[in-house]
Amino acid sequence: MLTPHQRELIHREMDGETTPEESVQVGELVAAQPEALALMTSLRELDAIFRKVPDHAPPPGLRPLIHQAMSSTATRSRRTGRTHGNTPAFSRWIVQQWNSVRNLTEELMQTKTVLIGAAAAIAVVAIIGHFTVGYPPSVFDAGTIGASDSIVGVQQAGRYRGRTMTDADVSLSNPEVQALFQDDKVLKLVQSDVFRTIMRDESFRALQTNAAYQALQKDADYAALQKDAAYAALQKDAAYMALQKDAAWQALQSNAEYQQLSRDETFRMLQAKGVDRQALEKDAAYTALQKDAAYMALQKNAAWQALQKNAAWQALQKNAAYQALQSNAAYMALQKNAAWQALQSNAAYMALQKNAAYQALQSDNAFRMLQATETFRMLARDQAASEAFLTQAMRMEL
Amino acid sequence: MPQAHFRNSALTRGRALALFVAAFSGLTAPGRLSAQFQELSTPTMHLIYTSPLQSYLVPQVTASFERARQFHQQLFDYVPGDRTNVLMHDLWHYGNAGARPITENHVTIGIGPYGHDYESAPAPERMVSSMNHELAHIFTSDKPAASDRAFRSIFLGKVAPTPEVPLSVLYSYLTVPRWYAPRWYLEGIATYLETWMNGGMGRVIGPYDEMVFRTIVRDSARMYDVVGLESEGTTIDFQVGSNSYLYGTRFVSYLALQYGNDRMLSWFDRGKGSKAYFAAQFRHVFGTSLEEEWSRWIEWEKAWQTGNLAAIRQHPVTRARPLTDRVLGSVSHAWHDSATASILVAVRYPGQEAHIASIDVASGRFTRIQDIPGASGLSVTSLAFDPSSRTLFYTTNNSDWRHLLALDLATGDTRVLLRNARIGDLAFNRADRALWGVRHDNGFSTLVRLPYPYTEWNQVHTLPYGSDLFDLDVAHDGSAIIASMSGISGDQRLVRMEMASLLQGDATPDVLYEFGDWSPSNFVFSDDGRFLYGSSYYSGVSNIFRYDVERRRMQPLSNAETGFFKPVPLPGDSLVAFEYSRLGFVPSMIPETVPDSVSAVRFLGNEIAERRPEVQEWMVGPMPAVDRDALAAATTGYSALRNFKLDNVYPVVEGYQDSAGTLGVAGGLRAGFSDRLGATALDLTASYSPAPSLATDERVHLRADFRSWNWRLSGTFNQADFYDLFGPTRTSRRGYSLSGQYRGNLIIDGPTELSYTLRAAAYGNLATVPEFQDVAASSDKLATFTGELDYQSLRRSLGATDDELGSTWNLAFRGNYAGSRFQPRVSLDLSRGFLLPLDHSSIWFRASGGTSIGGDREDPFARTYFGGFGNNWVDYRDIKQFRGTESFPGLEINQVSGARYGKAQVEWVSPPLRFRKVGIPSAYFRWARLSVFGSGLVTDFDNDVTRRSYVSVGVQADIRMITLSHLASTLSFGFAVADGQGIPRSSELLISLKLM
Repeated sequence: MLTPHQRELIHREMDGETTPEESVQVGELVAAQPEALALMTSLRELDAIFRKVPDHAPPPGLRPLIHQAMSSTATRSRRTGRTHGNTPAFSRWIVQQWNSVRNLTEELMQTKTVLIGAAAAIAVVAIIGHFTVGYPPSVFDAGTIGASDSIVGVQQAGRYRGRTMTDADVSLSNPEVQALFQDDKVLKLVQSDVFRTIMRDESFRALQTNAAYQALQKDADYAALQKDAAYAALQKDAAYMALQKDAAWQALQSNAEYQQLSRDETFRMLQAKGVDRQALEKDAAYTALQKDAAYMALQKNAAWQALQKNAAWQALQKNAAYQALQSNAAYMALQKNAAWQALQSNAAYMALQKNAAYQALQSDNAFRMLQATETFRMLARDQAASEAFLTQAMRMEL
Repeated sequence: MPQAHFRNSALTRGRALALFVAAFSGLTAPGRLSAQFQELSTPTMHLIYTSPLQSYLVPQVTASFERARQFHQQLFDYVPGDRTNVLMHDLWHYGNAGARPITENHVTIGIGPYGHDYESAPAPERMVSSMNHELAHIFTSDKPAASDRAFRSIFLGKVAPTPEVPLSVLYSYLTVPRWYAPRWYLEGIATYLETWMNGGMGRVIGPYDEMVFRTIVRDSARMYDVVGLESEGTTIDFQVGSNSYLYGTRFVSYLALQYGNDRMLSWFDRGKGSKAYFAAQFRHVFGTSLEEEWSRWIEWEKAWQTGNLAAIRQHPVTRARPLTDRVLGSVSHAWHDSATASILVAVRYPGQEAHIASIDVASGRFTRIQDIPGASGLSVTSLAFDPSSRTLFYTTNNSDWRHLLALDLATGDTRVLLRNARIGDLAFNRADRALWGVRHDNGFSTLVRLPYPYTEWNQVHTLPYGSDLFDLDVAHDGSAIIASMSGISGDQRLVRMEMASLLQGDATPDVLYEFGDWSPSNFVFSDDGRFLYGSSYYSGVSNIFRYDVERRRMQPLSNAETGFFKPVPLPGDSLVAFEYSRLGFVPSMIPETVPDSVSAVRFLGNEIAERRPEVQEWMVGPMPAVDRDALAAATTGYSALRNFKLDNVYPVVEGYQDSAGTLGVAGGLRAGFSDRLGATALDLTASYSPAPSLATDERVHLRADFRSWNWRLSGTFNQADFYDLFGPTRTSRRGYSLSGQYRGNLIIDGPTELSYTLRAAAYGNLATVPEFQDVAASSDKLATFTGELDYQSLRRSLGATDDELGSTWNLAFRGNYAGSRFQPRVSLDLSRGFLLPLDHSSIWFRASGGTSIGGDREDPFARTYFGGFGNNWVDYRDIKQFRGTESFPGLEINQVSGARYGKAQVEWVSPPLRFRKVGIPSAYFRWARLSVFGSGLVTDFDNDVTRRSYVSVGVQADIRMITLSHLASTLSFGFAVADGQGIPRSSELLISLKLM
């Protein structure tokens, strides 16, 4: 289907107004699109007919009407935007009138009589239009039915348009924050008791401004972890939740050796295998680990020793989700993340691990999904936007 | 009372404020919710918004306001003296806006996306468009001439009319005369300017407007004249208030084209030498009467539309076969029920409540199925259909926060699925039984999915601000969704989204067709999914189109003279479409054939753009830079106290009658104060009666009335009242009083409200009982406590003059403590109304009962008094006082009483008689209506000795008149005869004029 620009190009080619480069374009267009070829053929036929028509005095009044139509188009210099009939050449205007008649009585197009009659009919229409409402068709009105319409057989109505509004005409302030509240899961979350409880917790609010926490929000691995099924299951696990409150566990998180070991893939892999000691002792990797300096240091660590006796820790070793998590790529990557490590020893974060509301929130799918959204992560990068979200979340009507 | 002019809504200022206050003081403490209000002040604007969630819009609203203000300031050469108040809220499903110049310049904006019904109001970004429109109202009505300024100085501000002080109407006119013009006048100029400020996007180049007038001319129907438009065209026509926009825009556009913009604008300008009254100014500018030029416009319009019809008729027009012999008014999206071979559609036409109906395709038999409370203007409701379970899904409360309901067609049972879901544009997925829709919340449009059993909605995709999806449909195999999509520029396109992608969170649309300026509407899938059927004004006329999905080709299926909409594909070679007619839409069968050709029509607006090219310079420029941080920093919580100010002071005249019956005329002043929302206000009135016949201590009259959200505090001293000058009802009382009242809302759900009122009052130096005139008080001191529970669920059909159906009940407890005795009373009032098959005719049943509890039954504080119609000769209260519990037409006021009573009443209300053209633009009759009623009363029915029974029959005729375009007065005539035990048969004649 020809675009308006392509039609314009073909008409200008017939009128001899194209540049050499444009003429090449026309040639390529005609060769590639049958519709373009049909239009070009139609124009050439008309041109040939015109050349055969001798001078003939037009009906009285037709000339001034035509001139009036042409003069109105000549004063459109200040108009902008999309319009129909933009600077039509005289020949194109005649072609448009011509085509409307041609559609009706094609075989009669070959005679001068019909041509003159068509012109007279057009003049009659224009005269009728003039005396009924006094105005010939506006330059913003449509042309005639023909190939210029993108729905074949339908003449597209014209409409004056000024400057088209764009996104530059819109100025908003943090619309992404408000858009978050269009999510039903977020709505349920912010209206839940557990969310509202934790929002009032100073540790949580302090955490929002913590650099390590903010850095973590930007981390793709952290975001991926929020979506991980094993991680989700772990957050709901009673043993895991109990462990978060355990002093030994918390001390271990900030232990340098433990952190180093946590980055060790072998250690993690072994964790994933569970506490089957007998199987472990046959494992070559485990054997190698026995000689690892960090591991040896860990064995002497009081927190580690206390942890081995911890019922929750022991239960966790058998937890399938925990084991799965140890081999989770995102989780493993996170262990190496500096922000993650810094967070483990952050006082606010540590205090939060003991907070029942926070634990409940961590086990909430909606909260984890929220943390995984790009918008929420963006919020974390912008303290003002983050505060705005939290403040407005607290104002949501229950 | 003048209306705040809302863009597409019939809300009056009073109702809007009432809803606003109710919504924000409803289910929770008002202080908590109103504490969320935020305020931003700029040198030219006070912006108040009702929730911090709307803060994201502040830069856009601020910049749009400023651009529009600068344009209008230059165009009208006027700088408003005060900042304009802009109230932003999210109470409506669709975006809307309104403006008023009294007592301050005020604009209200609902931030929801605009509706797209029939492209009746094309527009680009809505804040820009709303400000362009609403500030036109402000500037055309607020700009004062020297005399207006003088009166504003005398009254210390602009005066808002209040029914309690009828003289306030005169003062209001003197301060803001151009506000007292018909709505078409105000909307015409606003829509005209809005269109050009939007760069051509508006009703002046509106296909819907062209269609309306083209249809009138085609059918040789009557075009309303100046008076007829207001008396009939805006009250009974199925387009009611929209006619103001249609006719106003058209007439103003005609004037601009014929005489030029300068002359047309002179009509609206209130400069030096201009006339105050709009019609007088018209003659002053054009040298002819408004009526004469209106007639010339009608002839011009006929010629214009004749030309358009000739263009359409160049090619064979589509002949449609109507399915029914009735016109349906407004219609919803329609569905084919193959099980019954019928069309299911919601309709709304004058005279009957909006409802869902079934139309047999073969016979045209029309069957009413289910009423729809809270139907919306042009689209009635959002309707979807599950053919397998034969369940219809529809929405109520369509102008507010929509509810979602399901109707089982087999059983007729209806159940509410989700309240306040705010979801419309429903579409049903047959593959998984899920519902899809578009949710409007906080200015955003969100595509949502409601999985069976529809107890929750899930977000699928939230569109960026300024974009909207509408007219959804789901492929029958569930593979895809199609919709119309609009953007910031106002351009529209038909899009398709793969279901599988959507459910994975990918809402990237495949643009099937760019319609550009002309909205694709109601496209639906064929049964086999090969085609889509919809409508578009592509040629300027709404025709049906078929889209070949595989070939990606659009074809016309009609060449309409008026317009075809909402196609319903049928098996075979035909389809149903709704053809526009003068009285509404007609379901019709059209062949599924491609017409020969379709010609475009011309738009009046295009003529203006060419021949009056200065309008091309009116488009507001690019958005100015906005310092968002500065705006945020300047935003504070809204404080009513900080925004409390004097509105005006003006003289009053009151009447005061003492217990001896001596009437004195008092003169004084009334001062009004309020905050910017109008939710907190204080009125102080002081007057003095110089008549020597009145006791010295009864010549000074004071009244103070303070309102703040749910609270009301009042105080009186020798209360006087303007209407006491006329009688027979008198409210003036000797003595002093102090009262406090709290009114809370337990339920606000569309037409249904349940509220409670608690009131405590203390009186001193009484001569008569405060409740009942001419009843001597047994004690000069009185303390009362009243508790009321009030329920009402009242509805009315399109074009109604009063509530036509529904029910109410009121349970009240009143305790009077006087003379060291406590006299409690309880009462219960019930009413139920039914709309009869005769359009706009209702029958009402009422029952009341009450009793004193303990105490001295003979004490006047323990008794309830009855008698009289209850209307004053000149009044401001409800014209139907005979419906009140204490009214009993035929008896004298308070003639009979009882400590215990029972009362019943039946009333038949006739359809109104409309006056087509009785009057002149400044004063005309609108309608007349008759009520016939019969009442029965039994007092002290528990005491054989004192029991009395009474009967009364009567009629009351009411005639509504409109003066100064806004003043709705009612002249009532009535006659009743009463008879009863112990009294002679008596009659009563009523003549009452309710001024406002």
